[in-house]
Amino acid sequence: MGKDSLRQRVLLSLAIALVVFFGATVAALEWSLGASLSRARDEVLEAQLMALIAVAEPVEEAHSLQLPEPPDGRMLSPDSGLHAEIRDARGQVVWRSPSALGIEFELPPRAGAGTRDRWLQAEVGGPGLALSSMTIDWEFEDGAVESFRFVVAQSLEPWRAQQRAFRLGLVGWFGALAVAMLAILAFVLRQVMRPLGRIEREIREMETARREQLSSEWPEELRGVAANLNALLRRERGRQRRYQESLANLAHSLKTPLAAVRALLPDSGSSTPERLGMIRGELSRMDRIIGWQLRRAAAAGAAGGVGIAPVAVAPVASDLAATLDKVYPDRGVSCELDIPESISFRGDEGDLQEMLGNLLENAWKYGRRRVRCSAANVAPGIIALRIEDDGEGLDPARASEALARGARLDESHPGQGIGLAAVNELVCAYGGALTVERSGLGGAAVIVTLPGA
Amino acid sequence: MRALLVEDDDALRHALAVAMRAAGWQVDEAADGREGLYLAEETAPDVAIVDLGLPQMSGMDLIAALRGKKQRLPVLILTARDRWQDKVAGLKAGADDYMVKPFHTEELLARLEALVRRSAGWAQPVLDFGVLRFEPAAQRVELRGEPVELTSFEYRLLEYLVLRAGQVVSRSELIDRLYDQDYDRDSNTIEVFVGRLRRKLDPDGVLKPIETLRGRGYRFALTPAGRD
Repeated sequence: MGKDSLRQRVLLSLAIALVVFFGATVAALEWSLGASLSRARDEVLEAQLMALIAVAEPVEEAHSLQLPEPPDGRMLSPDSGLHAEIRDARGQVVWRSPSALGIEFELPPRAGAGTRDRWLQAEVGGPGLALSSMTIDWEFEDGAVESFRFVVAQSLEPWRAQQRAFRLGLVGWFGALAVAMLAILAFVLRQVMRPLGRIEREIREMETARREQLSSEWPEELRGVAANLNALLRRERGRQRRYQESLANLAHSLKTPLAAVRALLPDSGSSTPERLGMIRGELSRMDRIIGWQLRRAAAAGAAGGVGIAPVAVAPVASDLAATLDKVYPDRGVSCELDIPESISFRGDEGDLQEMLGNLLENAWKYGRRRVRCSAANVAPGIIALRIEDDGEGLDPARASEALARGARLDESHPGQGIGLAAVNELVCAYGGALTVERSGLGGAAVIVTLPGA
Repeated sequence: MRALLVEDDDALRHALAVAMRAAGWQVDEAADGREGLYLAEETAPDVAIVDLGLPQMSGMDLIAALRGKKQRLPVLILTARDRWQDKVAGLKAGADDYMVKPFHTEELLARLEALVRRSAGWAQPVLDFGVLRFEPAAQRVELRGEPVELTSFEYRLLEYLVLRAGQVVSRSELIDRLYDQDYDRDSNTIEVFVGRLRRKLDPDGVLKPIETLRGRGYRFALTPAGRD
C-alpha cells in the first residue's frame, strides 16, 4: 500500500475521525459523571454532617458540646478517610475525630447560623479531601446560645478510584469498538476496491501482452472508465496502424515508378554512360532511403506493444527457413532449427519476421553450407535468439560498423549493412540488444535478446 | 521460352516486356489478375511474373488460383513491400521466388532463367552433359571446355531443347515458344537453325546431340553427367 493509496487515506481519515469522536464522547461522559459524583459526594457529606449534629450532646456547665460516640465507626480509625470536628465560635476545637489525627482543616470564614459550606482541600501525599461544614446556634438549658461549627471531611480517594475505573472501562470499550470498526471498514474497503485491483491487473496483463483489452464485467461506477479505456486503446491502435499504413503506402507507391524508371533506362552502353550511371546511383540511393525510413517507421511502431498477443518463435523461424530454401535453392544450405515450442516473443509478428528474416537471410548468404537458429529463455520475460553460419564470420569491430546506419560491409551482397542495422533498430525499439560473436560453426553468430512472453 | 507478365503499372510492365523480349523471351502481358489467370491457361507459359498488388484479383489470389488448377509453372512475385511478412506469405501461397521493387532488370532475367532451369529439374546452375556444358544464367555453352559462339536465337532454341532433354519437342511448339505471335511462322527456319546448331556443337558428327524424329519433332539426346 503506497503513500497515495486510496484505502490508506480513507482508513487514516476515519481513524482520526473516530479518535476525535470517541475522545469527545469520553470527555463529555466523564464530565457528566464528575458532576453526578460530586452531587452524590455532597449528599453523603450532608448525611454525615446531620448524623454528627444528631449525636452531639451539650455540656451544660461549660456551654460546650461533647460526642460520646461518633456517628460512624470509620471516624475512629486513622486511615478510614472519614474525619470530623466541631469548633466553637472562637475557632477552638471542641471535638475532633480520632481519624483526623495530623490533618489540619483549612476552614473558610464562618458564615451565619444554618449556612452550609462545601469545599475541597488538597492533601499532602493524598488524593485530597472533600469538606462540608455547618454552623449551628446551640441553645443551652440556661438560655445561653453558643455558635458551633460542625465539619465533616472525606477523602476523595473512593471517588477518584470510581472515576479511574469508569475512564478505563470507557477508553477500553471505545478503543476496542474503534479497532473493530476500522477492521470492518478495511474489509469493506477491500471488497469495494477489489475491481480497482482487477483493472490494475488487467492493465498489467495488457502491458505484458497477455490481454488485448479490459474485460466487460465491471461495477456500474467503473463501467464507464473501462469502456472509455478500451475505446482509447482501440483508437490509439487504429491511429498507430493508420499512421504506419499511410507511411508504408506512401513509400510503397514510390517504388513501382522507381522500378519503371530503372527498367526504362537504356543499357549503359548507350551515348551517356556516365549520366546513366549517376541516375542509377541516385535511384539506388532513393531506394535505400525509402527502405531505411520504412524500417525505422516500423521499428518506431513496434515500441508500443500494448495488447499484442505473444508470438511463438518456432513457426515463424521454420516459415522463414522454408522461404529462404525456396529463394536460395542453389546454395544448398542446411538449416538447423533448435527452438523450443515454449519460446514466445512479446511483440508484433511482422517485426519478429523482419528481424529473424534479415538475420537468417544474412546467414544464408554468408554461410557456406550450414545455418543454425536456436532460441532460449535466458531470464524471466527475456528470450535470446542465436543465428549462426559457417561462413567467414564477422569481425566484432566491423560488426559495430555494420550496425551503424546504412553501412554496407560487402558490396557483393548489397544490403547486408542495412539489414543488420535495421534489425538492430527494431531490437532496440523492443528494448533488446544485438551482439555479434564467433560461432561454433566457424562463421558469425548474431545474438539478439528480446522481450519474451 | 514463354513468360507471362502480370503487372498493373503500364510503364513498368512495358519496360520489363521490352527488356525480356530483348533477352529472347516471348512475353504475354496482363494488366490485372483476371487477365493474367486467363492468359496463364491459354498460353501455358514457362514462367510467370506476378505483381502482388493487382486490381480485380490480387497477385496472391492469382497464384492460389493457378496452384488450385494444378498449374505447376514457376512464379516469381514482384512486391513493393520488402517486409518478410509479405515474402513469406507470397511463397507460402505458392510462389517460387520474389523480387522487391525497384530491382535490376538483369537480376530479374537471371532469376527467371534459374526458375525455368529448376522447374525443368536442374538443381545446379550448370547443366552438365559431359563434353557439353550449359550455364543458363550467363547464356554460356561450352564444348570440351571451349566456349561455343551462338546467336541469340540459336541459344534460345538450344536452351529450350536442353531443358527438355530426353523429351520430344514438336516444331509447332518451338515456333510458339521462340517466335513472336505476329512473326511469319515458317517451320523451315527451325530446320535451318537446328542444322546450324548441329554444325556448331558437333562439327565431327560423332556426338549427335539433337535427334530428328520424323513427323514428331526434335529431341536433345545427350544424358546429363552423373544421371546414367
